[in-house]
Amino acid sequence: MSRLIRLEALLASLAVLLCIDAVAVERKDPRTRDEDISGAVLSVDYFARADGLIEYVYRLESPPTNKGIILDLDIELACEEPFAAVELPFPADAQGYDFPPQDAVPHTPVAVIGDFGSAFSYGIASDGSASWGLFLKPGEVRDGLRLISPAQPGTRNYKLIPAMDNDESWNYPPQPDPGIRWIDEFTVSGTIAAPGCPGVTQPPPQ
Amino acid sequence: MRRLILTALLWFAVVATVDAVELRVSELTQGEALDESIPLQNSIFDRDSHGRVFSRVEIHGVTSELNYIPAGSAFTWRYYQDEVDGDATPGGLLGEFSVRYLGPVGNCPAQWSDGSCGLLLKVWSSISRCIPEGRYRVAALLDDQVLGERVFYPSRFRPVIESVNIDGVRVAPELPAMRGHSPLQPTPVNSSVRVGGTVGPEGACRTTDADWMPGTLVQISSRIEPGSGGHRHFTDDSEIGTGTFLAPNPGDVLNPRSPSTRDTAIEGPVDRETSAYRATYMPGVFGIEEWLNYRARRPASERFPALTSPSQSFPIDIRVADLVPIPQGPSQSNQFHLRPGDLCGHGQSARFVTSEMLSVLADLERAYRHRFGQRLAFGAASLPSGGVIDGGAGDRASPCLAGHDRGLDIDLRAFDEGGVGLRESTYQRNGVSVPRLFYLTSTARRINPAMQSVPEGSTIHLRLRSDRDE
Repeated sequence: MSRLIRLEALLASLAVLLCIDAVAVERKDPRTRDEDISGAVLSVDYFARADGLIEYVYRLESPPTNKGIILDLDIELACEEPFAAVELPFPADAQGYDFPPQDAVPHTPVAVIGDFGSAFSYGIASDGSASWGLFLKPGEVRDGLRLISPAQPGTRNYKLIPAMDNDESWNYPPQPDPGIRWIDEFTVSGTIAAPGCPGVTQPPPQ
Repeated sequence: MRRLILTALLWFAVVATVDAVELRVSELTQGEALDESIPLQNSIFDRDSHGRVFSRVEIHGVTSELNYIPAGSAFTWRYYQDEVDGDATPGGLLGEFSVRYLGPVGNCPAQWSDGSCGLLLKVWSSISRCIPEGRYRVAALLDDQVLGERVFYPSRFRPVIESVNIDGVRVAPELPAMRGHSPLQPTPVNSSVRVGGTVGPEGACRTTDADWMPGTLVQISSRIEPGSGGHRHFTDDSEIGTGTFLAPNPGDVLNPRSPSTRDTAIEGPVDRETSAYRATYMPGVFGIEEWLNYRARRPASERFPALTSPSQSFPIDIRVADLVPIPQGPSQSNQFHLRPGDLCGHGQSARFVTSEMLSVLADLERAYRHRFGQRLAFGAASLPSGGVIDGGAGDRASPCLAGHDRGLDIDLRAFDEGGVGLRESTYQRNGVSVPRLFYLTSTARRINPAMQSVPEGSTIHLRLRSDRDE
């Protein structure tokens, strides 16, 4: 009897092992990847400050229906011609830089600010855009993403870039497959009011 | 009876005269001068060894004077190139040479128009070695009377490769976006190389005539320098090139010597007007030293053996130019250093990137070190001239890091040098928490928006895309 029990236990263990093994080798089809963040809503309030500068406050909401994590928010600030030197009452290149600011292309003078709880990093990217590192999951909201600039508001492009990992759970084929989407395919683009280039950037719609 | 005797004497006199003086067209000879008379073998003028072919008329039986040849008579040599099309048919007159007998002049008993003096007929005609190929006929005449004809065939010109044209290829360090597939993909060269050259005869003979060497074939084959450019896997026994010849011209033959060359060899006829040959080669891999071997060949004919030119090799330059090595040094140095690993058994060979990529990596490494106090641990980058990084198993078909072929890729290990996992460890700042991996991803993209990072198992593949993808 006890021998039979041991045999049953052994068979059960084998079944469990086989089951685990079957789960381990089953990798996901990358064509099924869905990091959709297109439901995100970016809004802005801007107002003139007492010191004459304009403050832009952005709010980003990722609805629960989104599938992916929003890693970064980028707002275009580049101008073709460099600005004349502008005195700002705070460091124009605020915290968050991990590269020499002089490497960035000419852009509207601006302070990039992330209030506590809004972004893990922020600053001017080398393409002249303001960039916040968010890691914003579906159902979350971030406030306090701010720009302060002497520039009047204009219609600027923005991008929401998803976070994508490629761990062992995905079964990528050996040959390229146009049906497989990556970061570019899930990146969201739009326009928003932001510091413009004087005489160049169209004002935002009222 | 008396008439009969007179007739017999006259006949005897005539016969005696004919027997005593005989004009004979000698066999053709070859050499550099007439006195260097070497007979032709099988009527073939060996132009590789001798400069000229000679034709002479010999006069036999003359002792004191040439009074049987009227002064003013002309010996003429004419040579013809016959049409050779199946049976030889008489062709056009190519040249003519004459010398006139002037008779006794001054102290010279037999003066000739070429300035020579003597009873022995020294006049001769010569034909130089650079005449075109074919069947030639030399006729010697005394005035209009044909004394005799001789036929000869100049040996065929040995072909040589006179000029070579190979378009260089610089593989631009451009890469497609990381979309649609895993980044571990080989990047096709996608650049075909127009190769070609002209063929001429060996030696000093030059002509503008077309079709000087009918039936000449040019063979071009590609081969590799095994193990060059850090490509350790290209060491198999065949050493054939990496690519294939494309779209053969009419008459071209792929793999003329053996199917084992797998379309890395082609042979075809030269253009009859230009003596040129052209082909298209599509290299399969770049960054490795690859050579094109040229050889011209004339197959054997009924009369002549095959002729082959010496083989000549020329390099094809297919590589990513101006890759720079990632500097290395002690991890505690204040100076920026990266420490490539030894993935795929390539050791330090796979530590080359573009200067732009190096700048991005330096900024990224500096940012990480500033934030976390540790260095990033980098793995393989690219080989010195780019190209697919193999698995070192001697198998061309199994690349190890195929995507790292243009100096725009590097593997970042998923653990920094302090042993902290970039995926597992969370970075908390400003009230927001994010895995270090995504801190790096975000930072890299800010340093250069063309930077993409793709976590892959135990590594994170960093790639600098080209503007073309934007």
